[in-house]
Amino acid sequence: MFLEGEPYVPTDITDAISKGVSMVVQEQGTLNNITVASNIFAGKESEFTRHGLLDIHKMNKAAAELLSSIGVEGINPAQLVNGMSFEERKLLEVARAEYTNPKVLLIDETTTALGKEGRDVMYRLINTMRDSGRSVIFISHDIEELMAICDSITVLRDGHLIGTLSRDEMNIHTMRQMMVGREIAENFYRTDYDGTTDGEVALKGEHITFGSLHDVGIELRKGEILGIGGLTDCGMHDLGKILFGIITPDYGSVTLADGTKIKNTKQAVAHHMAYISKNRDTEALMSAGSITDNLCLASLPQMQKFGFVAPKKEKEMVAKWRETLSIKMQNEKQFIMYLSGGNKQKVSIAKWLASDADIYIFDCPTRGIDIGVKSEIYKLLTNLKNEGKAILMISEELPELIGMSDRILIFKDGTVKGSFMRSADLTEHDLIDYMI
Amino acid sequence: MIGKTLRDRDNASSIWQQAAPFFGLLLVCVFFQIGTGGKLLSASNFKAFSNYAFQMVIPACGAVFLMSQGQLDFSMAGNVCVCTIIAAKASYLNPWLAIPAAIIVGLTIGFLNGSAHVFLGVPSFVATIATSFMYTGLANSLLGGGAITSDFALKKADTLFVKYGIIALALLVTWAVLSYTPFGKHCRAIGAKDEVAHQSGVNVRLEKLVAFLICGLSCGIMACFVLFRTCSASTNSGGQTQLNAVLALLLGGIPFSGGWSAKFRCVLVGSMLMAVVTSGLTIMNISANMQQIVKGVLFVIAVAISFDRKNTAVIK
Repeated sequence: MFLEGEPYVPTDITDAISKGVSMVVQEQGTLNNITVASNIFAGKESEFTRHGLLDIHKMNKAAAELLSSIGVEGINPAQLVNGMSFEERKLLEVARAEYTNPKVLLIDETTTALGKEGRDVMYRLINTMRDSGRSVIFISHDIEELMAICDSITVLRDGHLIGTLSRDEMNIHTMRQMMVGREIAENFYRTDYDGTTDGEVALKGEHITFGSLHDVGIELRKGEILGIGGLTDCGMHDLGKILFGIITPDYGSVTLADGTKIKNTKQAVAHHMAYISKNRDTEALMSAGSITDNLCLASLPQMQKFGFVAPKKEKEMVAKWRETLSIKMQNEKQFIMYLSGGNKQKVSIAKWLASDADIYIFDCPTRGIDIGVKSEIYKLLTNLKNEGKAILMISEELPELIGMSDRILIFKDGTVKGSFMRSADLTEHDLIDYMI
Repeated sequence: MIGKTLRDRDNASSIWQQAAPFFGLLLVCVFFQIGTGGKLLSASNFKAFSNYAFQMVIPACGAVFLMSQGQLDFSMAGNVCVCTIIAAKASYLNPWLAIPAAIIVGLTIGFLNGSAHVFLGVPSFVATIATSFMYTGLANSLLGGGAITSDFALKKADTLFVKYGIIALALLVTWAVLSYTPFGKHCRAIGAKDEVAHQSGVNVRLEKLVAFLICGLSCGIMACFVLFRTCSASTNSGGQTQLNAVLALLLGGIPFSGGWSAKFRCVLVGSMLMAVVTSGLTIMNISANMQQIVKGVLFVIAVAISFDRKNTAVIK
């Protein structure tokens, strides 16, 4: 590797930073139990010491200035990071990277975790860096995003360099093709525009109040994909957890078609509900568990006979879904942590298909996975809909909501601000107006 | 490339992890077989060995469900002690009343431990260290100092058939429940990531409580064993139950964090290893104090091998 013509062999992160290369990672990179300012200036405390003591005032002030210089408002440098959202924490990492004044900034899949405001901060920073003659390497799955902000795009697939496109060569079609390696049909999303459903109500939430959610009512019908959109902190992610019984709301109830009230997850699963968390690696899958252990976890009560689960049955179950969803794995004993994001997501979906669920709550089902698997998941959603399953899809990606949903509810500050039926004329702008 | 090397290393280490305990057991057996001049695995030691095996197998079977959830019970010795005393007192009403008495007290104490963890949210390690003081205090005040005897009719149950029978039964039940029932799988899922288990429809709080009850049950059984053998109860009746259990499971290959690596073979190999070491050292005339030192060294080695340093919040 070469940096500005010189051979560049960084021994570790600190070495890389001192040579002018910084990175914002996909995973969480902040430390709990210390303040915002301490996080931003971790490892650089010596710049703020006086007579051997840390001048916290000076550090907080510098942190405040740094945050406002990149356009982040409303974060107090003296607060602990513990209670902060993933998005706010990511912005701290951005500030930390910016502080080192890097010549090259690597941004790895960070924006998938960010809502609109966070993304704007990121884009502004990227533009500023470019305009001041510095470079940014931006790694993302999101084609629209890449096309909007990048000057040139290099496509990698399965560890091989496929090609580099300059600004005037970019278009969605070629890029999808390059990423997947085969023609993706134009009908990436659903092709029909019939959003009417006459299925009965499968799941009903009434007067739900929790956190920022205030008196929310929601009805999900059989054979329907109900899209929920909004900014990250609008309360929609909590709503998904409440409907599945993970969180008990302060007020309000969740009722099934047969009148059962959902109070906990055990009950939800017993009544054929499914929930796939947005946080795949911490809430949906056990990374230190095998594919079998993960895939069968929700179906164990159904698979047992006289209280015992036969290993043969588990093996058959895995083989069936491996085939159906074409999950790439070495064998059924392979650990989840060694699978790619897309295959992990397939396992977590297979877990619920195996449990024969009728009501699906997907929270960001295509987050951080490549476009090939994405299109498979969209096909799967359409199939589930056609089988008469009820699907609630919470998503931060507007094209996905517009492309897949029969109905879209847009949330803002914990209440429903807009409701849209499926239509070919619906655009992102129509929705954004209600989100912000 | 990186992915491949990671996978290779994973496979290699998992094979090593699987085989290591068995080799360890074999090695230890050979060592003590030679060291004791062939007495370890001989017909004459068969009777004495039953006692060592019982002391290791029963607590290990009881604690494995907790440990697979990433939890510990450090009050097992206290539990056994209280069970023994109450059962000894009950034996004067009817000798065989001692058995249900010990079991009920064991389960009650297990429930108390579980409640402190599940309902009050105290980490199990801290909660059970705290409750162990309660049980020691309770045992002392029940005894009023010294020791008491139980009805000597209980001595009749101290037979090889009973001891090896209970050992075999405990191992069989643990094997079936841990490996093949939803509950056993849920325990390991809770250890691997409790939020995933919760979101997959597992009643995490209930199953944690059940694991504490199982642990309490094993303490009740241990108390019966103590009474059958000695027909007496003292403040030392609990011995080092929890250390034996935890050490056996660690040596068997279960990490403190629990999870899917908690397998039945860990229980079997670990507890047999401990039994062989204790029996071997005793035959070689090593004093009880020296045996403690050996166990302490083993403990440090086992923890050093199994402790997952990347995962600091190991004991829930």
